[in-house]
Amino acid sequence: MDFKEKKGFEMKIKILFKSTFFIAILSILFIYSNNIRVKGYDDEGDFVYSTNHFNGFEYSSTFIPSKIDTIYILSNSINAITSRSTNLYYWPITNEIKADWEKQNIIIEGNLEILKNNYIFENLSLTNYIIQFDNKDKINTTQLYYGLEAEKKHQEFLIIRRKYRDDLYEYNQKMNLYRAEFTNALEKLREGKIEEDQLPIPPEPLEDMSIFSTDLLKGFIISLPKGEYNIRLRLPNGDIQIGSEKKLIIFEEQSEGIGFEIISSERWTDPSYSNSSKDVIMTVPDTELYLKPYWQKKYNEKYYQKMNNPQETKSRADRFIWIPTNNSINGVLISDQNESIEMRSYLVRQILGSALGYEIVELDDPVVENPSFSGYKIKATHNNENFSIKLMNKDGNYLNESIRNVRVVLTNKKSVILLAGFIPLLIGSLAIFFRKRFTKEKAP
Amino acid sequence: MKKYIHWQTVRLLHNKELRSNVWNLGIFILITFTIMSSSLILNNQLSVIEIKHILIDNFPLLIPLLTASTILSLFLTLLFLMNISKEVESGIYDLLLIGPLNEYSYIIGKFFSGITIFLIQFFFYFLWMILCVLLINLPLQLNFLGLIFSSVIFSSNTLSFGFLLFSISNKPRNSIILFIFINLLIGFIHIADFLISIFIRSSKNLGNDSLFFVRNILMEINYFFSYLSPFTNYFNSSQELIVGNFPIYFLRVLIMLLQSFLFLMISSWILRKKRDLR
Repeated sequence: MDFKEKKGFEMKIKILFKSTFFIAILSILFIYSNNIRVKGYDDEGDFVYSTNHFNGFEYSSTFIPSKIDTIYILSNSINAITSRSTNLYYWPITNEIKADWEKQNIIIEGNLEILKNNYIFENLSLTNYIIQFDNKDKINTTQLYYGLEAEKKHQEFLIIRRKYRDDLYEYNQKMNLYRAEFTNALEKLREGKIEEDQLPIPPEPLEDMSIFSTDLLKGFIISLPKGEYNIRLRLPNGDIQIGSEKKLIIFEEQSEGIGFEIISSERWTDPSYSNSSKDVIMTVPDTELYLKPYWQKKYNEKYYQKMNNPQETKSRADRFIWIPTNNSINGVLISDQNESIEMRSYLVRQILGSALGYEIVELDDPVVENPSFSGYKIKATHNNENFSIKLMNKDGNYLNESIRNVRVVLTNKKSVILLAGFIPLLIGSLAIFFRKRFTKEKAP
Repeated sequence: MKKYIHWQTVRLLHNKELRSNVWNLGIFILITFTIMSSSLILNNQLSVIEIKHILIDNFPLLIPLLTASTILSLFLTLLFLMNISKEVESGIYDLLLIGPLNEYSYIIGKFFSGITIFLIQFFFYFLWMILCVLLINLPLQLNFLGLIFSSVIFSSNTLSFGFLLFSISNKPRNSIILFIFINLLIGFIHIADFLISIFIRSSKNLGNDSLFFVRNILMEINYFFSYLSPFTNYFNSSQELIVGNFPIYFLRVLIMLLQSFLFLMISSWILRKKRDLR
């Protein structure tokens, strides 16, 4: 090979690496320029789907702009999708497309066609729906009603609201009367004309209205089994709405288990959370921990996050996410030494005196005193440095994913591990020293 | 394979490299430095437990381990690049290639000696970890062995990448500069992306267009690197192993292995071609 060929080869290698580098940069710029196609206001409006979807424990809403081609919904739950025209704009702070609902929010009439394997699986028309729940028990009472039932529930809600308004008016009237009577009675009491027990009695306070309801809304009601579908909006004139064709992924929970909110007696306002049975609860000796269990469901991270925010980009399909769903758990906490711990109610109260601080007191009668929280109390000590706990229900069965390992970490020995770093240096120095000495001795 | 790699010469080169590198105080200083760095990170975590009285984690030694593997692998690659640079400049490299040693055997011999030195260093680190578990009562899971495996694969990835840079550089010393530059660049992009995103979200004047442009570009570059960078593959594989997501762990490890193999083969091939052209 001559000099020319050598130079030629080196040049080829250089060109290969340089061109790879520039192609990479150009690809990034191309992807980037496609991703941030900023759209200004347009009086004609932009087609979007908006959702009122069940997220495992309540209803939340989002919208799907035209650049997003997939909608994610939970299986076997009742959800509503609405086709709308609105004004979209780019919001650089979060790098997302936003909708200006106040400027334009028009429902686009038509039929929603749901396709499975290119065949029409369902053909839905716009239906009235309403979401209601009782704030006293939001998780168990949240419901989406549709069709005639929605109208009925809406009427019932209007009656309840009207009655509450009337009761409130009546209560305020009684309260005003009571205040006037009380002022007069107080005057008479000072003059000694009446006794203390003759003071007027205040009216019974009115219980807050706990029912919440949306207005009567319009949408396509979707409740499908797990699977992949396609959707499109067929307009009244028979055409397909441009930008309405999307992929619809219906997914389900992967499993259900127990999570814990854990409070240490030293910092009750700063709880920690444990979602997985692989988690280890590490603490220092002589600490009291309070465990508050809750039900949680495991979902595909990407599907779940994209369902709630279709524009988010951080989630991954190969990971999962735990979502808390329900706090009402009745059971007993069992340690691996067969100690059973009952759930108790606790009151956090300020320590009297000038010193700052608080104490957590167990309540004998939680009905009389208002508890700060309820939970299972465990104590980590030097004698009990490593143990496991798990939750058992009233039927004697252990609850799924409720096992946790508790470890008492001996933080007082942390200087030893720092000093241990010098051991390899010591070993190395000695080994090199003796090797040199040995080599010298061997030398002629 | 036998046509390209002479295992006898690989073994001889491997032993020679071990003799010249292991009996060197620098290796032990590096182990001490690595353990000290890990100790500081672990002490920080222990301080959090002391203050909060609680820490939920399944393997608190993960961050110290990732840091240690990164330090050891980067310094090891630099050490080998410097050794190769010396060999080329002093003519030893050319002298070796006159004999039965070819480029494939040279690169493979260097590679295996690098891995052996990493294992020796890692052995001390492993003992330190066991000491931590026993003294401080830290949790230790069986998938810890998987973490050690991915650490070795990560070190092989950085070493082979170093060899690739050596093969494409005009002068061996340039590969050292290029290696440092690429690592600093990746680190800078990660940190800049992180900081700018935080700044934009916390900024009261809502940032400005040029800042958004920089943020978006960095975001795309980071996304691009997330599939290629050995750091990302190593960190992700470790995190997936800890949460029990084994398929992704194996996928990431496989990507690192394939990258290492490709880098080694390409670098040997380029060196061979370069010699043919002399």
